Amino acid sequence: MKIHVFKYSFRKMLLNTLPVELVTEILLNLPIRELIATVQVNRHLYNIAHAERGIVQRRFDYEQAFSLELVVTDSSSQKSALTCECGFPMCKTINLKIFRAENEYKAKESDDEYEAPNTDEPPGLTLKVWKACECRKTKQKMRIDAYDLLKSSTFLTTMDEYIRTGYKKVRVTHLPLEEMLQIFIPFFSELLNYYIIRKFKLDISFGLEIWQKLVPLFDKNSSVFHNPPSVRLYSIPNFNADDLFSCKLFDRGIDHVSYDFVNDVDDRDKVATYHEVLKTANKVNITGYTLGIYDEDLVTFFSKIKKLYLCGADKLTSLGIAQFVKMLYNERQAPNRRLIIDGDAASFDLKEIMSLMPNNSFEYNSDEREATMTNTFGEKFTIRHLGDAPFNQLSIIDLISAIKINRRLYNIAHAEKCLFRHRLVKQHFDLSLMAEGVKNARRNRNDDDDFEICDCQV
Amino acid sequence: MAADGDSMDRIVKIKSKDGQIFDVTLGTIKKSKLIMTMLEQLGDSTDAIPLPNVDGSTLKKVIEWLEHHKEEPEPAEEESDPLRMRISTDISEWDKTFFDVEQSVLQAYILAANYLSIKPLLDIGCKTVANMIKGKTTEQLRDLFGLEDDFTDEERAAIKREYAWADDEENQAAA
Repeated sequence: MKIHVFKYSFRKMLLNTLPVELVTEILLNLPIRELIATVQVNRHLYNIAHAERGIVQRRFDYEQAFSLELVVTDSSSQKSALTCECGFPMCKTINLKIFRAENEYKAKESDDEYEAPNTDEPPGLTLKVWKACECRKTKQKMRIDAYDLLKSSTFLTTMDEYIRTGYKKVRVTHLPLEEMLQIFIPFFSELLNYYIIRKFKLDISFGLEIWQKLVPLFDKNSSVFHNPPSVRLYSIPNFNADDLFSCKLFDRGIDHVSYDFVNDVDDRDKVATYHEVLKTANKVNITGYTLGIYDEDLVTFFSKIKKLYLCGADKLTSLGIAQFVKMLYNERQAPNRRLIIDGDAASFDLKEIMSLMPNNSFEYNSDEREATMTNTFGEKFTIRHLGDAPFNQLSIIDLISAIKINRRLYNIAHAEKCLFRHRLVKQHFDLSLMAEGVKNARRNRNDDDDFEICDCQV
Repeated sequence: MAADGDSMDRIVKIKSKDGQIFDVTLGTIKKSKLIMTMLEQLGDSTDAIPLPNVDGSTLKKVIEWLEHHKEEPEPAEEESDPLRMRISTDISEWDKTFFDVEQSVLQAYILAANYLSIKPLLDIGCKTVANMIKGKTTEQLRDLFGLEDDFTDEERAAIKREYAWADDEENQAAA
């Protein structure tokens, strides 16, 4: 006798047994990504979603994926207060950059300040959501009424047209912050749910006050971010990493983290600057005058980071780096790992750095400023001591790579009294390449031409 | 029928398909457009209103829900764009607990809300199902709802192509 066992219980077949109009109602409550997942479950659900003249079918009209960048400038402390050209003393802003996903590669390049000689802006839209002041210049720009954002199905269509026709900036009419957030949060939520969000970058300068008002929005919509987001923080004193990284947005980890002048502290216990989520990043770039990163932190926090740049790591010693090199020796490493430490060069000693390695695992080059190591898995590494004047030791190609790392290194390289500045001047081609890069970076960062973050602060 | 003032205390009898009769105040039952329409048609009759599509246990829970929400105002009329305002799937903690039931029971609540034309209850029921779907893959959804993949290989391939624009892995590979 054959016994047929049904795999599924009838008691569970909710979506197959509800009337079509109720399934339709359920489908309309779904973000686009889950809607697509649901209609692929079986033929019944697919047919409901694609019924001719069916309402769900219209959700697929927005067949687009975007990369978003939310730029929050929160100049509230006196120290970092910015002045708008209209004289308004507190230049807080919220900008939302929207790139079409097929252009995300270009958008990603443009994040990397000096690496993108291509000066073409990726097609996209910058929505200038809010600015603390309403100066005359603002009034002259293309702008939309803030409340039009709430008619977002209309606005999204308009936005599509903007994006299709090329890079545009749209100023939302001025409202008090709280009122604007009442509009922006549902608008942004709808944007996140109607489109596929491929990549998301959060760029926060000067403070987290505005960000904290946006946290509930990201907590609620964290499921729409399938890829780990990137974060860039700039000049944030008294930064507590928990205030930022406890948001559900970072539950899937983080892609690229950039700290520029965040919490220059001597006492690392003062505040929790470096959060556990940093361990999940592919690329970490930390710049400051004194980072508060100690020997034990190097392996604890940064052992898995594929690309790590620490500039201002003056608390690190050769022994701490030696521990890191030992870890490279003992564990299989991801390809193309790269670590650059710019610290107190006088305290670094290559022999001490290699002191924990077996003698047969490495060899010095002729002037003993560089060692080549092979780890237990046969992977090769170069450990190079750049000395008191690290840039002087580099080939022009490496020199250009090094000064591309961040603005601080670029400024050092271009300082008037810099000993190797002549090398850059002589290499006219490279200089012009960098000049384009800088120009591009400035335009990307200060897309708002009445607002200069970098020049005011650095 | 006027539905304000003292009339809200009026007792209305409703009868489930299995013959159970419930006494509810008009103030409690007013969110049901079906019952309000029937009351208008029945006039002053005190007979129990028959609800042949709802069983007693479900009707009891629906009344419990109505009782809890009776002070809440009627929801505003929807905007003309039917695609709007459905993205928010916020549900109160009380409603989350109320709907934390087996799928067959959830289905009974949704069907009852639809039959009785209680829009807020229906909306929350649909949002509950939507929240169950959120964050899940197609395969996980098949498991969750006990549904078979009945696509042919050709159909499956065609659907994959149709939604390639939304596929992260595919787009990353292309980049």
